[in-house]
Order: sequence, then structure tokens, then C-alpha cells
Amino acid sequence: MILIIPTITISIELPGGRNMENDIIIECIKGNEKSYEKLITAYEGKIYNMCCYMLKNKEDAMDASQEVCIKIFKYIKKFKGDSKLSTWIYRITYNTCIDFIKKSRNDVSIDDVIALDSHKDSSVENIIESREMKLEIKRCIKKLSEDFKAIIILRDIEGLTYNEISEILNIEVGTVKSRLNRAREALRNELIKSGVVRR
Amino acid sequence: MSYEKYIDKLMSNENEIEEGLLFELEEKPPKELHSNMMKTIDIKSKKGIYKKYQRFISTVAAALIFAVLLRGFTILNPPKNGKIATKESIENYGNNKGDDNNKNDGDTEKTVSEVKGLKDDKTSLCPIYEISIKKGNESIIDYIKENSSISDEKNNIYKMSTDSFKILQKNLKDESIGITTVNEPLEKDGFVTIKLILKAE
Repeated sequence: MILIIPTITISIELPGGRNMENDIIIECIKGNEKSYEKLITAYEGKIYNMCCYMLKNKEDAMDASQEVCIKIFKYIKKFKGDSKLSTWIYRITYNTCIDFIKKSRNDVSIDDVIALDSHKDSSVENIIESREMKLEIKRCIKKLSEDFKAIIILRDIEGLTYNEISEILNIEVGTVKSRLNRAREALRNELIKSGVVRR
Repeated sequence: MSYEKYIDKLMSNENEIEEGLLFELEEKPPKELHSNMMKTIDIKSKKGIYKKYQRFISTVAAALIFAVLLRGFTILNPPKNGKIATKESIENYGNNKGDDNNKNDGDTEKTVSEVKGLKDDKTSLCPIYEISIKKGNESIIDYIKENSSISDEKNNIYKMSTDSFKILQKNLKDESIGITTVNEPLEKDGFVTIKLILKAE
């Protein structure tokens, strides 16, 4: 069987800082598992982070991450290099998370219950230490709607540009900006509501 | 801490907040995530290889099963030799007809119906000869009956050893009686088959 390798011209750096993504993609298309492992190593943290925020619990995040991984493996041959590889991976991750959410919309996870309980305790005691503060912000982000969560993750946590976010979420740049403003406003309200900050 | 800066800006309703200020809130993946991912890929990859060759394997397996079944069927239902021989007989009959006309032997006669009479002869793997003699030629008839076994009484078909047949041939020659070969005159198992055609005086 003849393997047709598409010509890809990408100049993106892996999070490791090496400009070797092009070679890695070509090797992945050829079926080189070691190259694929390199790719996964570079992106698994980003994938897991997004899944973790978007989904209810860590188990779901793990499952979704694995599914993303399979999708990358399966569809890397179709990656044409029109966008950044990272953008492509984020888009797969986002879509997988949305599918997961749709599937388990009615499920109530133990993590949610624990999160709500611990939130009550902390708000009562009003302990805002560094670690607690981080946890509270995380909880508040997780409480946002999927659209707001996604945009906060991509912009404020992952630090992506408006253009990248627009490609990942498949919306206009203007929509990205307005949605980001609304998401931040929702987050501010959540933070106030949970007692992390005061008006 | 950048997230504190983020909160400050958020609370002061600043429109422009730099990207990535909450990077410290990034969830760290568990250690087993990588191995789990690679394990999943490994399984998927093996499945992919199997899928790739699935059609080829299926075709080979189907061909093999077909061959085995065909072999089994052949063993259980061997081909009917008589029919094959009859076909040959008919073909030879056609070939020999021209020769007979040239010979113009009055004592030998063959018809398609006579050949068809051999259809069910199970000994037809042996050479088949037709001998057409007058009913009054008892010495020859007796010789045939004494030195052969009856294969098909209705059609006057006899099975004779090659040695006896050689003597018969000599006697027939002496009496100028023609002998016709219906199929390939090959000796098989040391026997020949004779179809005796008795003509009225």
C-alpha cells in the first residue's frame, strides 16, 4: 500500500519549545508510534486541563482525554495544516467535551456534591488563602455555562489569541470578544456569590 | 500572583485583561494519564492493523472453507463414471462412423440408440467393442457366453478378459466378422466390454 503524505508547511513550536512539529506530524501520519507519543506528551496537559474544567469530574476528564487522544491518532492523516496543530487539538478537545456533556447531562457526580459542600464550608469560614483561593476560582469557573467556561479556559488559562479561539470555537472574532466579556462578568458574579471577593 | 492581578482587574471592570493570567489554575494531569493514553492507542493501532488485513484474511478463509467443502462433497459424491464414459462413447461413435463407411463392412452396424444403450453400463471404463453377428453363428455366441460375464443382459453387454478377447478377435477374423470399437480401446483392469448385436439370419 502506498502512503500518500500531504505536504504540510507548519511552523509552530511544541510547548517544549522545539520547532519540530512538522516532522512529528509527518512521522505520525506514517504511523510512527514514538512520534505520536511525543505529540501526546506535548499536548496531554492542555487536553486534560480543558477536559477537567469542562466536565464534571476527573474520571470524565480522563475518559474524554483518552477519547481525544484516539481522535488525534485516527484523524491526524486528515490534518492539512490549515490551522495550528494546537488549535486543531483544542477544537477536537472542545468538541469531545461537548459530546461528553450532552451524554451525561442528567448525571450528578460525587465530585459536584463534594465541591458544593466544601464551598459552603469555605464561605462560612471565609478562609481565602492562596490555595483555597485557587480552588475557589476553579470552582467558580466550573459553574459557568459551557460556552463561558470554554472561552475563559482558552483565553485566561491557556492564553490563546482571539483568532485561535475563533477557530477552535468556530465563531467570529467579534463574537469571541463579546462572549469573553460576558463570561468574565459571569465569573465575577460567581466569585462574589461564593464569597471569594467582595463588591 | 497573576491570578490575583486577574481578580483585581476583573473586579475593577477593566475591559482589557491580558491573556493567560490564570495559567496557575491549569489542572495538572494525573501520572497515569499518559500511560493510559498510550495503552488505548496501542489497542486501537492493533485493531487498525487487523482491520487493514481483515478483508484479505476473510477472503482467504472463505476460499479455504470453500475448498474444504468442495473436497468433502467430492468424496461423498464421486462423479458417475458411467456417464462420462457414455459421453466419450458417443464422441467416439461419431468419429468411428466415417471409418465404418469407408470400410463398408456389412456385418457391423451401429446406431446411436445402441450406443445410448450403454449409458448405464457401469463397466464402461473398460474398452467397449460392438460385435454384430448373425443369430446362427452359434460357435462365436457360445464362445462369448462361455468366456465372459454378463454385465447387462437386456442390452447384451458382456465383460471379457483381454486374453479371451484376443482369441475371440482371431476367431472373428477367421470368419470375416467385423468388430467395432465404441470407445478408446484401452485395456483397463485386464477386461474389455463387448456389446453383442444379434442380427436375424
